[in-house]
Amino acid sequence: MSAITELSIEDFVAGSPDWLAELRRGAWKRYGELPYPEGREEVWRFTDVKALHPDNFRLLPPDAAPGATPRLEALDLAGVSSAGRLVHVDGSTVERQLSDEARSKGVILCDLETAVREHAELLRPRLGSLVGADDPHTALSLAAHHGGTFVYVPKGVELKEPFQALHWLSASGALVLPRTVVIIEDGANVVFNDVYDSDAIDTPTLAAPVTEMFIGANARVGWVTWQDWGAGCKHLAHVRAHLDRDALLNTLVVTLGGDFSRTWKECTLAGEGAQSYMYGLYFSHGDQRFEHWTLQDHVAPNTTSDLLYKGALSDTSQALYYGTIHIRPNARKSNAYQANRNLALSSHARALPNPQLEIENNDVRCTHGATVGKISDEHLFYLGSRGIPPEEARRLIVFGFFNQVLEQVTWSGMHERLADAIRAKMEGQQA
Amino acid sequence: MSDPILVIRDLHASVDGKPILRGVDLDIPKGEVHAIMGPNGSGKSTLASVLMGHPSYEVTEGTIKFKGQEVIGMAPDERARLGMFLAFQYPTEIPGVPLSAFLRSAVNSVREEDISPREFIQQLRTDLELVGLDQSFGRRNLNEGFSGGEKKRAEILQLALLKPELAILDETDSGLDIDGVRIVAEAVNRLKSPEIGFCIITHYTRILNFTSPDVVHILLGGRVVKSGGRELADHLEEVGYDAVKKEFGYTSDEAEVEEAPQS
Repeated sequence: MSAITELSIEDFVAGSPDWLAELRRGAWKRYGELPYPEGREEVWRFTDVKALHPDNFRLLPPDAAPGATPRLEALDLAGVSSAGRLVHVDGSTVERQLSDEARSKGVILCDLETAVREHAELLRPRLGSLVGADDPHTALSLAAHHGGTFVYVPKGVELKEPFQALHWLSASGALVLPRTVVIIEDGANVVFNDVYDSDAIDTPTLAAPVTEMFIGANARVGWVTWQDWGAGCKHLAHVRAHLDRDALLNTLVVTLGGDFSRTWKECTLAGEGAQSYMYGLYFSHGDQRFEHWTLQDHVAPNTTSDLLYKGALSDTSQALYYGTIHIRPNARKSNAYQANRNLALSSHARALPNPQLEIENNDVRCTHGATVGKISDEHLFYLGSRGIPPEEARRLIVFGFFNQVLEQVTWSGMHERLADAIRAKMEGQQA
Repeated sequence: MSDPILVIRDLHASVDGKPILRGVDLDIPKGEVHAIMGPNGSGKSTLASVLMGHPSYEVTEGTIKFKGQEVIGMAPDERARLGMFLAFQYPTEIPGVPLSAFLRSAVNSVREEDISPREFIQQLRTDLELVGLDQSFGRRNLNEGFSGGEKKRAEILQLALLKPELAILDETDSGLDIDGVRIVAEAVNRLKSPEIGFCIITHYTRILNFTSPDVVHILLGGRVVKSGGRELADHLEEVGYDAVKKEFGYTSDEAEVEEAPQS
């Protein structure tokens, strides 16, 4: 018997208000109807899609007790001060904090279940509206989602300290489906760290989080997705953002852990003057396989997107980048840039960049490029001639390679955490 | 004259199986400035690269002793820590690595004890001034976007900070305007001491007008064919390389060996 069918949709519907029960049942039906991909489809032709079949995992019942206590210090990217923090363990929310300042300004930060009960007027029109039941995984997410974060920042609210959602996983063999809904109203200015971490897990475990982000006019949002799952975890994440007029979204995807990781990041520039800066930093080792799929969707005129994903690959690891710039007919005077840079630290590592353009308006500026390089002997000789030993020279070169992304990361604590992560990867790779 | 710090005997080296150095003999004592002059293709830059241990060159015969130790087989960083330094003809750009971070790493690599941040900053400030580079260069990425002249000055900056016992300058004067040559030469003059030997590899005599060499060697066809005092450079300036080639029985073609391109 497959893991999924041990539970029925009614386990998830129980206690839901009518609108959500309907949404869940509809998505469940869709999940049953959608054929599972065979691997010939464009989005799966590079990937072992069978290994991601939900039947391979155990869907946790919504009332399951949370597992082990997370190592919070491993998750905490903001140091001591944050505007608010949620801790999710195996899809159950175990800790909720919101600073007095944020609360007094009308900010809401809670788990999704609480939002269903208390903020349905905000949640209902949005849940599932950006990431619907498009394929088996997103359909199952909409039907059986459990845990996740709800964020609401009212008009004009500015907070210096970041919000954090920390996702810890300990249930071996599980399938966890958290959903995060983010509403940032006009002119607000906030930063959010969304962190996924665990120890090594002995049985393959799949996390398939979905994030829907609604960014109001003239708002400025920084969003970090930090994935450092332990070995044994697979990660299949969808992050989709909708930007109104003059909104600015600055996202950073950091991918370090897990056996397999695919993160979709899609930004729809729906309002004139909207800007999306999309950064990515990944470092794969062992036989990890990382995939980053991106969409820069220019709908309105005078919109800007600038994407830079940089990754280092060691051992026999692989990194796929598949990114599309889509300029819609109305998006005149838009600027779209896309670059994927890879540094192969081993001759057995494989980077597969795949940039795509779809341009339906000619009055735009658009560039894209992808490279795969290795550490050059001339660089090592030059640094060596200054007395710098090969390991240190490689470290300098790798940090130099990432510097272009690192210097975009200005909020506190994050720069050091990234530097530590890169250092740890380099040490592991030499071991 | 003190004992030579660098002793090269019968040095043969090749790249991709093609012989380029064909029996170089050379002694450089501490405290002296030696100029190595030669036409294009005489093996000058190959000699510089081989001395520093560039992996593309194969030493097929001979010895290179530095402070009495055989350095053939040593990695470049080991040679540097022993006290050798090469100022590159074409310094490498390393993206994203700030000059100051690189320099601190280099200084700490060659010194027994790490330099204190305060001492490093002071030293860097002084040495940037010495070579005529703006203080802002410390924050710029290593050689990235530097002009040709700025790159050469940054090489001399590294020489000043690392305080080697043997400094090999590979055509540091090439591609510089006369002010640039003067600044490099003056920096060399100021760094000159009984504790350091200089090996200035050059095509032109003009740098020698600013920093007077104790010995001039002429390299032809991968060998040192003649050594002498300052007057040898003046003679070369007067008659040109073709006359010297003839003097040593080379036709132009024979004297030219193909050097590996540097990137």
